[in-house]
Amino acid sequence: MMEFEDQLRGALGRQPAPADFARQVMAKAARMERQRIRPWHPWAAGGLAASLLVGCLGFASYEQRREMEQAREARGKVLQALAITSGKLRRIERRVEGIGQ
Amino acid sequence: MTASVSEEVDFESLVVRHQSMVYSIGLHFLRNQALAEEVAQEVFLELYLHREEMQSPEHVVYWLRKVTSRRCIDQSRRRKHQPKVSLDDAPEPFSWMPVEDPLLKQYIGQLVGTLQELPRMIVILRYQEDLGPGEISELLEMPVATVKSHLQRAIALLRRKVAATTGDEIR
Repeated sequence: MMEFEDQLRGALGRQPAPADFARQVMAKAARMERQRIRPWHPWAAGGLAASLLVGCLGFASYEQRREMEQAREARGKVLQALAITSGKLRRIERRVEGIGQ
Repeated sequence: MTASVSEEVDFESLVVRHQSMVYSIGLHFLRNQALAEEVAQEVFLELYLHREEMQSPEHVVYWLRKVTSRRCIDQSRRRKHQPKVSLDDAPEPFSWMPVEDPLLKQYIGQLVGTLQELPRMIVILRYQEDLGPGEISELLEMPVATVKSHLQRAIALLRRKVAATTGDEIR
C-alpha cells in the first residue's frame, strides 16, 4: 500500500542528467577560464591604444601652449626691465652732462 | 591564473556527483529537458566561479540547491514558461493503484508542473530532495509557516486533482 506522499516521492525522484552533461560543463568552464585570462578583445585593445594616443597628444599640446604662454610672459618682463633700465640710464646721462657744463 | 589540472578534476567530480540533483530540480520544475539542462549548466558554471568559497561538501549541496531553485524560478518568470499538461500527453484514465505505477508517476509529475512557482519548488524540494520545511525555508528565504502552508495547500490540491481523474479517494 502506498500513500499519496510516497507516490509523490516516486514521481519526483532524481533523474539522470544527459550523458555528456559533465563534459559540456567542463568545456564551458574552460572557455570561461580562457576569457578571464584574455579579457581584452583585439578591438578593445585598439580602442584603448587610440584613447591613450589621443590623451598623450592632448597633453603634449597643452604643455606646448603653456610653455609658449610662459615664454611670452617672460619676454614681456624682460622688455619692461629693459625699458626701466634705459630710462634710468638716460637720467644719469643727463646729470653727467649737467655736471660737465 | 589558470585552473590547475587537479582543480579541474575536483570540479569535474563535483559536477558528476551533483548533476542528477541539479538537473532533476530543473526538470521537475520546468518540465522541459532542454531548459533544465541549460539551467543546470548555468548553475555549475556559477559554482565554478565561486568554487573557492565552498567550505565543505554540505555547503556545496546547500549552495547548489539554493542557486538552482532561484534560477529555476527566475527562468520561469523571465520566459513566462508555463508548463502545459496537454490532454494528449496525459496518460489514460486509471484507477488509484496503491502500487508504483509509471503512468501515475508521469501524471503526478505533470500535475506538480501546473502548480504556482513557489509551491511547485517547495513540493520538489520536499519530495525530490526530502528536505524538511525548515531547510526549505532557509533555501527559499521565507518563513517556515509560509512553507508549511504552501505545502499543505499544494498536497491537498494535487490529491483533489488525482482523485478527480481516478474517481477514487486518495489517502
